Amino acid sequence: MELANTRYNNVLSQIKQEKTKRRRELLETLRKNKWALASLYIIIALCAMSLVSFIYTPYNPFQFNLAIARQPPSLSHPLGTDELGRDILSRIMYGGRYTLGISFISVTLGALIGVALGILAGYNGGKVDTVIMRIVDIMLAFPTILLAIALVAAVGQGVKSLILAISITTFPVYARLVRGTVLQIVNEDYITAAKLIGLSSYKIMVKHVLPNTMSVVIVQMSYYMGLSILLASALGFLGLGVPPPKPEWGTMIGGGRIYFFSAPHIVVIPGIFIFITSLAFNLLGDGLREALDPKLRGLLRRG
Amino acid sequence: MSIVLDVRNLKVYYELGNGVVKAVDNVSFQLYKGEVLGIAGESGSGKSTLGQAIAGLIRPPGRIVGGQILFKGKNLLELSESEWRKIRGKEISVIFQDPNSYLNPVYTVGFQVAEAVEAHNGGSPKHYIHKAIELLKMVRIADAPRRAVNYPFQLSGGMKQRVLTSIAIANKPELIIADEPTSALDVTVQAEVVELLLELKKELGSSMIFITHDLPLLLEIADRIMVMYAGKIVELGSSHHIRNNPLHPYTRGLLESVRYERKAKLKSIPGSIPSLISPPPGCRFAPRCPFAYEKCRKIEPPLKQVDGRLVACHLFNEGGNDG
Repeated sequence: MELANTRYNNVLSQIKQEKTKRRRELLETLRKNKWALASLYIIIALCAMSLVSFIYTPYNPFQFNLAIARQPPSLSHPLGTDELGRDILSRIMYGGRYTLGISFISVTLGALIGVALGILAGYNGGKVDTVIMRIVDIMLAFPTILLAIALVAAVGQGVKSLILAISITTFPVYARLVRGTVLQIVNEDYITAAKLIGLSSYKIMVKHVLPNTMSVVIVQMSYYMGLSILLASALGFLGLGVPPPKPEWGTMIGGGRIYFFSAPHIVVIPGIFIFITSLAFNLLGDGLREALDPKLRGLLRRG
Repeated sequence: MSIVLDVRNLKVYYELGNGVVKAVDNVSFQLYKGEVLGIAGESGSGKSTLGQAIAGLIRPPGRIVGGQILFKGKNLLELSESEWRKIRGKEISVIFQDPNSYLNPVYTVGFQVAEAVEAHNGGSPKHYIHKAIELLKMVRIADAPRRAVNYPFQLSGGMKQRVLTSIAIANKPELIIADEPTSALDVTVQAEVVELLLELKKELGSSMIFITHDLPLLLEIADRIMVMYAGKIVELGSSHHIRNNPLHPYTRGLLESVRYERKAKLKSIPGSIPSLISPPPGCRFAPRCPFAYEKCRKIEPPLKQVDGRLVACHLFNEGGNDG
């Protein structure tokens, strides 16, 4: 028994080692793609910046001072001040938690709903499939931004309804994507094998189908982080996102848009941040797709 | 000897757009405890469909149209999905042709073997890792504890087939269905896997259905052999009878189409399996049979007892030797 236990622990530690090895291989592939790597660093930096805002910002992001309104970047205000004289750097830092946080939560939520529905539809087929996929079709028939606007208008403005709106508008895409992947997976022989050892449908879905869809889902989540940031900002710009004075980046652009010609930095700087963040997530998505799908390795790297 | 499996008048049809394919047409046979029954036939003879039907794996467009499959007296065709789940992997296991695709690429092989144990014992696969290693040792995987943490892509084909075998025997099944378990392996590995299967079968006291197109292999390993052609049994008898005196022209053809001795001339059976949507009237083998005569093309030959085995051929008379 003693011997059996030590051997058992040995095996467990070996499994752990094997897993870290695989993870290292994955990171290695990612590291070779310099765009994806740069994107990863940018994303980490942006997240760090948003986290730092919880303990430190150069100025109070809500403190307005009309005497120094609309000042271009200077030494005391590196990114200038906005239409009410608030420090833009502080507001960008503080706003990151909204823009990044909202995108992250809504992407995760959307992925959870979408993946669950996609697996249910793809695995069960038949009526379940028809019902779920027709709902998805209906959702996809609406333009994303219109649907989001309608949802925010119906639920009311605020961070929660923004998250809800983004996740509801994005989950159908995951559902469709995952269903397609699942349709391939259910025909794989190892699913037959799993049935043959007597596993229940639930266990097969969770343990054998789900892990095999993860690479597709992770890549899609990365792309959708970029898209969600754009969507959150667009709603913010239209005045339907995070309500002012909270400095969500889109809201900041919306607030400064009338000064576009006299003080362009008020609009341009949050715009640059939105652009960079969104681009970084998209490039990271490309890198992840390459790392997770060995068939694409080398093919995409030429670009 | 007690009967483990009793298949009665089984009919499995595939309903396709352009007609109904009668893949298994009115097949009856028994499997005794501890026996190895070999099923031989060309591609399209219905032998794999038969195996799938017994394991409950027929999916649309396939359909079991009639008959019974009695496993220890219970009709498998009347079981609900949850009753099936208790039998699959515990009492009936299947080993497939292509070991490369029957393992999930995202889990270690040890986990997958442990999962097979867990499926019928409850708990978490993690609790059964040591049991999994024992099973991997049973199928003679060298350095089992180290192999257990490998992913399927890190193993060779023969090794994977051993892993699948260990999954199949994890719960000591009473019936093992081996569907061309060696066809995807190198010749040298084939012999090892076959030998292993037979030994395990003996150790566990299970019965086995061994499906293959390799009739000479069956002559070596099977107790009884069932030769199928176009969804029907053409000959069913002991290996001894079939080795020494194959009666049905198709059985003879199958044996002659494999090189036994260096000098023997390799013969092939002319033609190919007929369309199972509209099989020829009379004997289905008649169009390819060198001995076919008028009657063969008109009347379907019934299975009859000839010289200690069952044969479906007009050339022979009931009970007699030659007709």
